[in-house]
Amino acid sequence: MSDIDLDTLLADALAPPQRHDDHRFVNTALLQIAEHERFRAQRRRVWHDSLAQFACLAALVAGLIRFSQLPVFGSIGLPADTVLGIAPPLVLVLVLWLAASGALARPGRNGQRVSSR
Amino acid sequence: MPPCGSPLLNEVDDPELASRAAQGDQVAFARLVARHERRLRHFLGRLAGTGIGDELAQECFLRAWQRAGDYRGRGSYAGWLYRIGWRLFLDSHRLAQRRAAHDALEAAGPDAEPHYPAADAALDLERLLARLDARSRAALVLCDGHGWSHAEAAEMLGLPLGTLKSLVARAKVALRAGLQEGEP
Repeated sequence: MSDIDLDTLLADALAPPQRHDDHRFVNTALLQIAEHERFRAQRRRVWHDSLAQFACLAALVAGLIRFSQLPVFGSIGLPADTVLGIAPPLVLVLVLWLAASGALARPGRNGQRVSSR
Repeated sequence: MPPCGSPLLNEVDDPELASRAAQGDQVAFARLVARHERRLRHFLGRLAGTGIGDELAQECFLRAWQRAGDYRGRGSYAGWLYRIGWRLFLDSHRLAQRRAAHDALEAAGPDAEPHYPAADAALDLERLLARLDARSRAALVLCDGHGWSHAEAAEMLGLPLGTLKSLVARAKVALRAGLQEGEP
């Protein structure tokens, strides 16, 4: 078998098929991309919400600490250390209550917020 | 859902479409998929089999979308796609090899060489091609089937040019010997 014969045989066997665009394949690829984009948007939203909630909680804790240092707490007999000690459990109870009441909703399938109830 | 291959974009070249895709234009990317799916699927199908080749091609287009900004217009867009596809194939091939090694330990049996019933030259060639290692097969498909130059194929497969040329030459020697053995 000559080089030319082999090259011709290979070119025939290994050439891509001649056909029109495969619309079904293209649509499947685009659906995957749409799904990927939706997932990415949801993930971004979850991160954004988590950051916002963390910032709110941090502000709440900072506020409680600040309040615990006000002289008024001395007059009602609660030392600042006690207020500081009960602040984290209070915040936790508040967060659980918010979660149970649906205020911390999760993002829905199409991006809209869905109540957890 | 954007139309698959919008005729308005038929005249737009790949770098321009890729640039639009990098900005999130799914219609432009649909045109790129429609333009390149036939050759990419054939290439990956030749390496991994038609079914897995199609899955790899889908994965390849998804990666291309995710990394659309990485294509800077240097070299052809098709070559960039083939590189992604080749790396995906290598990953899946390694995984399949690990699974096969594990299965072989579980139940030792005869080698599963594909069975080709008839014996004309084309089928002989298919059988011989199936026996080649993946790199040699990929090099032959790119250079002899899809018409890429040795330099382009070497870049796609991440090989030095000399290595690719020697792979192609050795593969042809093996194929010629195999075909001559089969001749009456």
